[in-house]
Amino acid sequence: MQPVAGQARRLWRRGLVLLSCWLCAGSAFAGTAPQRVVSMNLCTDQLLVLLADPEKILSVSYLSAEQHSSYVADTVLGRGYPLNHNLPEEIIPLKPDLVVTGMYLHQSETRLMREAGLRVETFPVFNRLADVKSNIRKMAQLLGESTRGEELIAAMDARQAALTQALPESGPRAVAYHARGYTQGRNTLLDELMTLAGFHNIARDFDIEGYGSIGLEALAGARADVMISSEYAPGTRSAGQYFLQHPVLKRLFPEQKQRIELQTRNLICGGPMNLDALQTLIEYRHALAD
Amino acid sequence: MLWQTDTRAQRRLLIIGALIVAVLFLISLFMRSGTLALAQIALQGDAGLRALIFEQIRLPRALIALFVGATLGICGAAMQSLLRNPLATPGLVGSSSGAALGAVLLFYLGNGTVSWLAMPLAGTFGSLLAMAFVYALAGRDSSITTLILAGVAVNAVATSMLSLILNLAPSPYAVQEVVLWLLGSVANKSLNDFYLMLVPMTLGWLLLRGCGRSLNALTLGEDTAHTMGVNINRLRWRIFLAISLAIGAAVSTTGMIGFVGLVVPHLLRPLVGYEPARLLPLSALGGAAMLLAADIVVRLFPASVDIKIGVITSIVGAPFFLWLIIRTRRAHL
Repeated sequence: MQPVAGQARRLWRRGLVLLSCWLCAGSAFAGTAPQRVVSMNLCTDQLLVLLADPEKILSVSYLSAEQHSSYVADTVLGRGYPLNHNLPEEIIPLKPDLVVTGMYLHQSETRLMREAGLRVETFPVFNRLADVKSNIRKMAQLLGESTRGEELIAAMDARQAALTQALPESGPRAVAYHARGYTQGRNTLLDELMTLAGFHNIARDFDIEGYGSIGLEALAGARADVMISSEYAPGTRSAGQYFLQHPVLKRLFPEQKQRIELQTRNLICGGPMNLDALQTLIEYRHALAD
Repeated sequence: MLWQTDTRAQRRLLIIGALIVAVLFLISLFMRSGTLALAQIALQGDAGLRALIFEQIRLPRALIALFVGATLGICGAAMQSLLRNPLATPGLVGSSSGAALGAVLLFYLGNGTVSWLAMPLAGTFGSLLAMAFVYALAGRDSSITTLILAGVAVNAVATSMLSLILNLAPSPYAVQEVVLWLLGSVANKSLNDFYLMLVPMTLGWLLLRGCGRSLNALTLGEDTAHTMGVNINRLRWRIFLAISLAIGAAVSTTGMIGFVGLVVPHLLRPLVGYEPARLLPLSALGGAAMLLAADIVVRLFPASVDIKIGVITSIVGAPFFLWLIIRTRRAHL
């Protein structure tokens, strides 16, 4: 009895799924761009807010309203978008015709929503500015706003070119050093920005690919001129953050100008704000050269 | 006296113990860190940098391992002697988890820069509170089983509160630091951390000094000890306070490092003729040696693998614990 009933239920459910897929496919084939979009991830939130018409956004994730994490926090709060917490039960009732999210973060939620017949588009993680631009392009195409996307990319390219011209010679040795001694090596956005700004990233000498950590002793021997950090949540306390007050770091980087503080919201996701971080780095280069 | 203390044998044991601790301390100070090839090259010929690493990284690390290890050892011995139970540890009656809870409460939820100075005090307070709670819960003349069960309950509450606080703490890093508090670490401490820890810890040690004789008497049973002029109640509170001070200071600096307080007194007890007064100082040396050795093992792993010291002590300690249970069961049969 039990298996037969289960099978029938499964068939019924699959029928529903197929029906709803057919319905949404129908609307997509009608050639209209999505009119009701939900984003579940801080990074897709920001691209969405930058590229979509305001009235087409149904909901963004709660992180996008946090000042330290989100470049568009003011816009999100100002427009009063409902904030979601990446829960399918919050999102499915909104009946969005497009859900955007990261590729790796919410896999089970993504699967659930697809089974419920929603169109879910996922975005790959970015490691370089080129990835950031391809994500912008992807988002713009999904929204039917390709021109807006290309304009944004062109503006980023122009700003990057303007920032990186006439850099002082001989780059200082720098290390990205965050709470708990975490650092970024090759193939990370910060490494690319540091390189563009003419810094030599110490983490490369340690053969660090992606994210890694450098111990205090190793750092002491590595002779960095500058320490770059970005505090994710200023004003809060943890052993990891307390670690950055270690006397050795004070001795290695005694002067104020040896410490560069980057805003986390300019680094945590890909977008035009990455160039704000680049600008901060380059301003320090000029200040160091003076 | 019933106990004929063999002072010469005791002195010999203490000297051997101190020598082992000294050797391990020196290894901890001067060992090469495996993956530091680059740093080693850069360091050659820079005396200032070498001194900096030595003073601000190596020395605090070795000193903290030494003092925390000694504290865990001596407190474990005192607890086992006081409760006359081979399974008693400072952790069993809630002092470690209570200390961690006190420190975590202050550190993650407190604001302002002064409060981290008070961390050892918060640890001490939490430790004392948890221990007093276990004691009250179990009742004054309770059986060991009741005491252990009360300890289990208080430990469970304290560790889950600790996780809860780390979840609720405003800092996004806090959640991942559960591991730090539950397994312990002596890495990346500064000399300041060591000095802060030292004050309450020394007070605790001083209070334990002179308890040896009463503990010796206690091995003959509470009634006999009473007739020998030992005030059991006062002895209990004195040891509880001492352990709270010392463990509170240790745990608020390094987190909960398991099994040292359990294993060390057991290893050394046969050497001192099962005599608490002799066991206490020797357990301090044994604990220091065990923690220094564990910290050396931790650093044999590549720097990118952040092994917590409590993992090493538990990997050694847990099988020993099993063996202990099996042995006591055999003895009872």
